[in-house]
Amino acid sequence: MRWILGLLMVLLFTGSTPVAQSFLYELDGKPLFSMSHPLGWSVVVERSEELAAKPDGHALMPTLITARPSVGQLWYGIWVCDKIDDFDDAQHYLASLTEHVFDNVTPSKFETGVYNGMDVRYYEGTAVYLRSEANATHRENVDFFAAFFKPGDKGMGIALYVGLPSATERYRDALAQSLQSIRPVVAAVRSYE
Amino acid sequence: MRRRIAYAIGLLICLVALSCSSQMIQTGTNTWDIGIRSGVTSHYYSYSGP
Repeated sequence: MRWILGLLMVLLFTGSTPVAQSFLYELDGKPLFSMSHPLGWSVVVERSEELAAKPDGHALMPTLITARPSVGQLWYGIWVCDKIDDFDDAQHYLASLTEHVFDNVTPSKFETGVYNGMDVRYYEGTAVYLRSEANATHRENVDFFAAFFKPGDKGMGIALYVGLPSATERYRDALAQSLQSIRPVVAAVRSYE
Repeated sequence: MRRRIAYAIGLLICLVALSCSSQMIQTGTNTWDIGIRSGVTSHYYSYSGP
């Protein structure tokens, strides 16, 4: 009897142990980089054709991968922007993006580094998010971070996080692990695809 | 003996079901990110470079 109960408990806890779930980001049908998110987070992979609201005359936006935990107010998305190629452009892109989405953007941190063989630029700051709900607009103070990375010859990878301070505090480690998991798919592997 | 095994299996099923339903409810009610996602995609199309 005891061994059966023991086996059941092992199965139960093995199934709920947090383990990362891995994803492969593809651009133009070829794998570009891989990444991991904590198990239990909802991950949505939206291919170019599934991203709505493309104005006429514009090229499709590359795949957007978003991930979020079941609890907490945050948005965490990763995509490739093929309109920028270097980090000067990336800084301009970020400034334009944050002004487009937020009010009162206040950058607080900037770092450069090399992770998993990729040059990375990391920005952090705070902003005010104007959230519309039920015909009312709520002003919410949010944290954001953006990491730019070059996973291949073309385009710039972007990982953007936006969340309430409580979510930032709760998921900081998980988000850092997710960022550090981003690895380029080496050219040798790409050539076999 | 068999009754105990049945109880144990029933308990296991209940725990798994509770875990799944809780996650589904929380996922379904989290709509906070819709506006930011929309902002990111609309900015992508409006961005014309530095």
